[in-house]
Amino acid sequence: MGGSGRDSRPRPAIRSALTGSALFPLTRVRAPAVSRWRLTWVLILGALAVAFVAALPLFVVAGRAVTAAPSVWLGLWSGQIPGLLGNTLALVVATVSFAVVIGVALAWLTERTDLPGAPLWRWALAIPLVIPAYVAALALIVLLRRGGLIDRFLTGALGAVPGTVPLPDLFGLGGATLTIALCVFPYVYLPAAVALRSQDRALEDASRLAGRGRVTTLIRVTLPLAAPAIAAGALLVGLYVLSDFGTVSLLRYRTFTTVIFNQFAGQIDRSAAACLSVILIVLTTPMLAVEALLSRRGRRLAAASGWRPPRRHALGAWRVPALGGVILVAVLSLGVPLFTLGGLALQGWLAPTDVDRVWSVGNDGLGQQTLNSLVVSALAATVALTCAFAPALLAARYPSWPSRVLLGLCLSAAILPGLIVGLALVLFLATWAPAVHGTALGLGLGLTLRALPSALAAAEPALRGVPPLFERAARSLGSSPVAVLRRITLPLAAPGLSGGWVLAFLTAMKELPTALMMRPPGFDTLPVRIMAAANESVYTQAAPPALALVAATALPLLLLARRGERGLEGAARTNG
Amino acid sequence: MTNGDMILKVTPPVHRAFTRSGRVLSRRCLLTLGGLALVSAACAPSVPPATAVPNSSAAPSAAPIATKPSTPTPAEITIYTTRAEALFKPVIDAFTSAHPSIKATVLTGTDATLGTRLIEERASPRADVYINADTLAAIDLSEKGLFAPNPSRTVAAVAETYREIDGRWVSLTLRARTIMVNTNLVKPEERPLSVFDLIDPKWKGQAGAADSRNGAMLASLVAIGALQGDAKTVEFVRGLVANRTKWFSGHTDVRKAVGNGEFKLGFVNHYYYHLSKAEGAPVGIIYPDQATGQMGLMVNSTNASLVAGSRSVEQAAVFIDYMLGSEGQKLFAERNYEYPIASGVPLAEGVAPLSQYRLASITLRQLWEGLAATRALAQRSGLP
Repeated sequence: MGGSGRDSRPRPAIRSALTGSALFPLTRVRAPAVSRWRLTWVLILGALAVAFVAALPLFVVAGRAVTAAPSVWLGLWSGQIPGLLGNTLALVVATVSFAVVIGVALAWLTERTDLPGAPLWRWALAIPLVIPAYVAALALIVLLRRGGLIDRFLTGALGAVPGTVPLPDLFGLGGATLTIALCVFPYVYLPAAVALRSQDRALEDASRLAGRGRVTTLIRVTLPLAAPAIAAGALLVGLYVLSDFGTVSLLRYRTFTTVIFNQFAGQIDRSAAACLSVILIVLTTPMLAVEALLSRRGRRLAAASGWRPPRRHALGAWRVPALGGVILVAVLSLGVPLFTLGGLALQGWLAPTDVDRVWSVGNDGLGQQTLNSLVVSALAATVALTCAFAPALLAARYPSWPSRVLLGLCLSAAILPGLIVGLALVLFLATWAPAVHGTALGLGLGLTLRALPSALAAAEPALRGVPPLFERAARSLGSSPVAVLRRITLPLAAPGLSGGWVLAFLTAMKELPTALMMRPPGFDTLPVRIMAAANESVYTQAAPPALALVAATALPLLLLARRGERGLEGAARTNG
Repeated sequence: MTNGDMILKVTPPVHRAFTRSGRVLSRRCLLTLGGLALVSAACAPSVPPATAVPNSSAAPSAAPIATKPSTPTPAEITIYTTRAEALFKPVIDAFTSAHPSIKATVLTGTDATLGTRLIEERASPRADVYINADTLAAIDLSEKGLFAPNPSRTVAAVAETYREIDGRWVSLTLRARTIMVNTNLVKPEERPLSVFDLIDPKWKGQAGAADSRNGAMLASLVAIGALQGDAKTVEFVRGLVANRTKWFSGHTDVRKAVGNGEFKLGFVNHYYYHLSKAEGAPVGIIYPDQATGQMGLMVNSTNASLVAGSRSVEQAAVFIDYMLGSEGQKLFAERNYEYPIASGVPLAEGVAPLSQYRLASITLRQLWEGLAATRALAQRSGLP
């Protein structure tokens, strides 16, 4: 992600991230003329090995689904699948729409208008990325459930009969949509902001000169130009919703992931769960295809030289409501979870209730759990980034269908439900590597597979942004391929790669189902503790680990952001 | 080559290799001896099998030492349990102080995660003991061959209806299926007296229950079918659905919602009432179906099993014996308000003795036998 200018023009890597799909690169880069056969073979073998390990869960699931008795399929189809399909699709559509509306509106406000305090809001609106949606759900449940803080306050204030104060129904589609969208809208906001900021003012000027109004220009010119970036963000939101487990199970909304999780209960039947997973994968494929299509179109639309920053609109009388809206989103997505959890943690420590006494609420082992989470996630992020290198470089330098297939296989662990990934790996490790199975290393491997797509999605554009010309020049001057890698490729791609590490780390820290399935006995991580307490509805016990998780994930994100907010946006743009 | 390959090629440390080969041997021993135990148990059910088995499968690295069951060789045991960790930890702590030579590590989860983990780990089991609160799931796993016979005398002392004959699973405590009410919202004279009152339209939208994911709920349906006919099960399920019953995957949500006044009634295990009561919620309890002609009170159990292929069978058996002993039983009774399986252990304050009630005449084993058919029937009738 080189580049040095102080102007707000995106750097090469960002530009490539904007114009090409981060998940499926379609940009053709001319293959270098200098023969690098040996290095290429090392790359191919490395990429094959990574893809094989990453796709193990996919193979296991596909195998089980194919060998499942037809009666299992029939039973599912006539029983659960139609309803689940409806539930899951409704949640995906609602959440993606909501996140796109908030994300794009906020991006336009902070980038294209004279909104007061825009630099501050750019920060505040990126931070919700560190709050896992299940943590936000927890905070909302504590506030809004019957008998929760708001209910008790209103009952006391109004003198109403307990249980009669009207409350919004948190449990179900509406609550799940609101909760998830408020946590993941930065996936849309960040790339949309970059896209809106980097547009050329000439196109809009031309539209206005041709007599179009502001609104028409916005709808016909500005938004279509930003569409690929928005679509990429929307895809990430969609994938997040499809693989989300914690939030929907807390908010009692039945989707494929929760049912797959519960498929085992009582009837411990893995083939039915495998069938449901296969349907989940089938659901994901069209989303990937649409995103690839839009980004290909976006590449054609990319502007050329003579770029000037876009104009900012004066909000005028709309300033106050616009500012109010931005503050509302920031408060709901950041303020509400953090203050609720902080208050709960304090209550658990300072004024324990009967509930806390029955469940012996305390902070025993919180430090150890934080350390466990940090160590195993750092391990996973490092291994994921190292593993991502070969397939990413292959896809960047030799774009073709085989390299795309390899990349797709590497991404498959992110699309499968975490529980299924965990199960498949437990089977694999217990059979082939019993010494690793049930250790922190095994859990690290599971988290690596979940974090691999984040690392890949950041590493691929970063490597593609390194001009092959430089590498060829170094080679022709007598450097060995390894020296070229060390002295040219890696330093130039370093900013993008470090962004990839941070996002892989973030993904691993927040990952819940894989940790539930693979953690060794006696080795608890923060998400596991949060969920265990939430399942018993002992919220004072869930708050301290939730706060620790947010703090531990925010730290590296802030470090990354210190490199400039571009780094943050570019990295978030590619987060999977 | 990349790290991806390295991960696959990690060689097991040497000491692991030893225990692994040793374990294979001990498992074979165990299988043979288990078979013998089964035969002898079948021939002479009244005589408890000899205690030779645990000793002969002791740690393979050391020469077999003749030890009394109360002082086993130092070892670590791993316990997989679906019990709530906060309520289970006192038992572990008490066990550790009674047997300081045995280090007990706990992995908590659900029958879904832990049961499937047991299955996937068959080739190299990590767990030594499995403890759960769903009888049907325990018998299911037992039938899949995941548990080993437990020839302990303490296990054999448990009534036969509350264990597998060879001790593959043994009940630790009992739980009664009851109806919990919010006392702010339900007047004493309105209280339902039978589970079938839950389908009375006057409770429309006012009751919560666990759905087909929950073993205790399914067990209740099996009992209804077995004692009163499948038609009654269908009527009950359809009635609950028509009455807009709120469905949950487990009973914690139900008891919380009743306590908070989200709805008035919940069909739960009895100890959830006591937990809510201890937490200060306005709740009451009904032990249903006690009138003549009604089915009686349904009871299910929490259970313990030795995991087949365990490396520390002897110590694992000591742990199960401890939980069945007076100290362990007392902790379960006091902390969890459950009915101890051992006699002579006092109940927690406020827990009504089971002897006051007429129990439904169906065994745990019969509940499991009716499970598959009842689940299919209930789901066809609309149980989510």
